[in-house]
Amino acid sequence: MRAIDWLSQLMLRRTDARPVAVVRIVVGLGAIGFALEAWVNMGRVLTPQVVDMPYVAWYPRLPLAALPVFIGLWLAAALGFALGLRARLCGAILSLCMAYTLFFDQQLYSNHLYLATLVVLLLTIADSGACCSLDARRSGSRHVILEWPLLLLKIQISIVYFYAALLKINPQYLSGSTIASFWPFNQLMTLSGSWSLVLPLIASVSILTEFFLAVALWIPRLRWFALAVGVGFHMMIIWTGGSHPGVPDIPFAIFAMVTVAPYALFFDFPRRRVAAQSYSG
Amino acid sequence: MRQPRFDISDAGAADGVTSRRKHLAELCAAGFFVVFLAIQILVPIVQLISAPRPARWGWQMYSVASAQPRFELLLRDGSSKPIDITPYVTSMRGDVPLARFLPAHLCALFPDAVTVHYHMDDGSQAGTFQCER
Repeated sequence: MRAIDWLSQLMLRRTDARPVAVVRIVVGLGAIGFALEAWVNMGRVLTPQVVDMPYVAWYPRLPLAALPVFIGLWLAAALGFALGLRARLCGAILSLCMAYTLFFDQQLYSNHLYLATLVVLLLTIADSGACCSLDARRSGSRHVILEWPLLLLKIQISIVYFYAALLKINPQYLSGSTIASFWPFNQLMTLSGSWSLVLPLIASVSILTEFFLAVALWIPRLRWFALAVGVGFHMMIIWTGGSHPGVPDIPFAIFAMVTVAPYALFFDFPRRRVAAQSYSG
Repeated sequence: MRQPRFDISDAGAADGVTSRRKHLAELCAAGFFVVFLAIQILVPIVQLISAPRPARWGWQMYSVASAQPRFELLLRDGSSKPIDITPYVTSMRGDVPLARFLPAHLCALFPDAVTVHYHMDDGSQAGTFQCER
């Protein structure tokens, strides 16, 4: 009974609309990157030489000639979402484009796209265009919005870090062999002596980092530290994940935008000037 | 004189409808909240327990290194031909069911092929596919 009461109260609770506007802008820009990535990958899947791997035979298959139109729609929706121009409509179109791509072919599954689809969906439900948007300029800004979709989004980020860490607790990952496939860690493999112990240590630290991020963002006194750790962690992934040593990896950078931007929801933004004046008065 | 559109009793009824709609919206939102959360918590657990790694929908990023698949065609003249599958697939992720879909596709692409052999380089999976001619 207590859980139901909590849930019914949560459905009514409102929160500051500014942090979610920041998330909407960053995720909208990230969605442009996802569109370009999908263009390349779907284009390949639709080539006759490449094998089809549908989840179900009845899933509607986009013809190759229609791909530029589909991507154009995706890009327009992403831009509109970032700018907050008809944000709910653009968010809905964007979610559908991403979800369609995710289920289009089994080769197109990516955890990055899956997370982005969920994030855009929740931002759309949350009415993330309520402020700092073209919609707000046109029809007035709303300072507060429903809290529950944002709570789901915050939980979602913790879930991703938690399971990503939990699943890495296996002999193969802990041995450092997975990390050793990335530069510059592969260089450590060539060194002899105690250097061989460094890779398992780095592997363990990466797991602990993800567990820490899953929890620390919820703890006010660790929040700023968690932000620094999270940004550093994703920068490291971007830096080491590229196909060439030291060249930043673009897909990892886009993923970082979608993962790190929702950190803003954990922070209290400064009071609005009007509110501050009324408090001081 | 024109009658006002709502009298007091109409306004009361309209309030009732609005209130019921609001209640329904809250109920839908609560349902969405619970279902979304349940899926996001339970699906990765199911994938962790029951599916071979790496599995989709479970946030299993880089938890294991995927084994590399090897494909080989046995041709009509009795010779065998190893195949680099890179041009025929979009992804080599470990969760992509190459063994299920790719052999038939290779048979279609190579009319001389009689059989497709495949195995993962870690020995986890191997098989033979007869081309239908």
